[in-house]
Amino acid sequence: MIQIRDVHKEYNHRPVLKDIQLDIPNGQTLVVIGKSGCGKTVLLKTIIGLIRPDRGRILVDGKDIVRMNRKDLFQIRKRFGMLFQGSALFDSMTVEENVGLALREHTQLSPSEIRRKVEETLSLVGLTNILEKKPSELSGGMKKRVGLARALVMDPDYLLYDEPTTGLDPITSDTINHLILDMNRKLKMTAVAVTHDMASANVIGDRVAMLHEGSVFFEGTIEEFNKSKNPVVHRFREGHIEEE
Amino acid sequence: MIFNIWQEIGRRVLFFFKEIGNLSILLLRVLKSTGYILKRKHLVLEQMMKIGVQSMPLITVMSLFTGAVSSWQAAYQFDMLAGISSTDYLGGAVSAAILIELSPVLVGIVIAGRAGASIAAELGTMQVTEQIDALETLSIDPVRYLAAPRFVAGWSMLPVLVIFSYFISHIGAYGVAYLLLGISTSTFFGSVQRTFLLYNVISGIIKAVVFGGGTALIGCSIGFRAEGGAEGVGHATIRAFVYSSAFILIGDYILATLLF
Repeated sequence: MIQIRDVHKEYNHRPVLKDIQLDIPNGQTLVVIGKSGCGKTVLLKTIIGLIRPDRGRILVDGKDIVRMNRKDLFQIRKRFGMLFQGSALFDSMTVEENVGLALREHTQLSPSEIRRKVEETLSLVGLTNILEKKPSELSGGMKKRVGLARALVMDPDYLLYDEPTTGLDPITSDTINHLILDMNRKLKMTAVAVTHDMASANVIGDRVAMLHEGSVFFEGTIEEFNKSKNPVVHRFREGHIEEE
Repeated sequence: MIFNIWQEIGRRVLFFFKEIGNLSILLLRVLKSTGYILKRKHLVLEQMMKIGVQSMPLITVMSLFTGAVSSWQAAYQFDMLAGISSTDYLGGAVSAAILIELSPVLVGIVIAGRAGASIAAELGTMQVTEQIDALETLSIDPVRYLAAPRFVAGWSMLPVLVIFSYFISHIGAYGVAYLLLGISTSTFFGSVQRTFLLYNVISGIIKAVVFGGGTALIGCSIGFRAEGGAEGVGHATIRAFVYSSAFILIGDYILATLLF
């Protein structure tokens, strides 16, 4: 379980996250939505320790990662996988090297065992025969899938998705959304997905947290979010321009 | 106005010490990664190829012409300006200049431009495209995985390039002396032999180790802190070259006063 307690973060004296409180129970997918620049990605990166909050705690199964030393943080991170907005594939490496990097670094598996595991994970995300390709040879959707395979290869307990469908066409977006949904159900993952794509939120989310002006403005189930009459929620959901 | 000038000076002094602090912290973290690097020699070998082997064509051209022009200029200074016949002294004078200063400094600056800037651009691109964050999420320390191999390759390959440059520069100098100045092989190399000191070679290698390690470290430090997309990577690349060149020129003076 991930618990976010009083997390506060400022950049140049401007608060980006204001005393955020959120719980992500095991096996659930929380979708964090909000306008661009509202601090969603900062929150996601805070959860995995890439950004240190100014104050507050991030508890992963009761352990506070904010106060952890780097060695313990690296141990905790082995239980996480993260899919980045731009996939963040290592462009000097092939697909096989990208997906197998964590296995090479953290396990004693032989090269043939690593190759087998990489192939298995790639087939899980619907990719075959691309082991030798470089990221520059892949389409946007394929890069997302390879990024997802890299995040899954160490069999993590927690998955973080940063804007999983940004930059993709509607059909590829839908494919990625259903792939994420399948993964989360099949592997019983606990997941946090950051998005501003309502279609994506509706498909992959169990619960929704809406960030607005640095705070959690709404938290509830997808159904509650879709029925909410709150004007800010309504405007975001329907994509209307903010009224003065 | 005067207040503003002092404020600017203060800001720059603070910036300088901040950079030194960043480099020192990075150096300590790199040194702590020695055990990791020993187990992953392929990472170092890959960087040795990039920094060392792939720089050889450029080092060859630079060294050949540096030797050639040194020979031509030395002869001109001896003969025309000082009125001394250069025949007996040319080889020794040019050789000493190559061993002590020309090869270590020029190879250092070539590597600062070729490898230092390339390290900053590569790591800067990885930084702005979240590849460094991706490494972190895979529980891989970017300092160990990216900076340590480049640092080891930098300090170990620059001496090799400098020794290579010594040979090529001497060939360039001898070529001009023999073909254009009419100095015989035995006279040229006899003069080189008379002035040759092993200490000159060792001092050049010591400089190369410092310049190579420093250039790689500066490239990594600046690359890791790049921000702001393609423009940020461009700035990082320029800064890496400027800082590395300044480090080499100032470091050369400090080492010269310590070694001689």
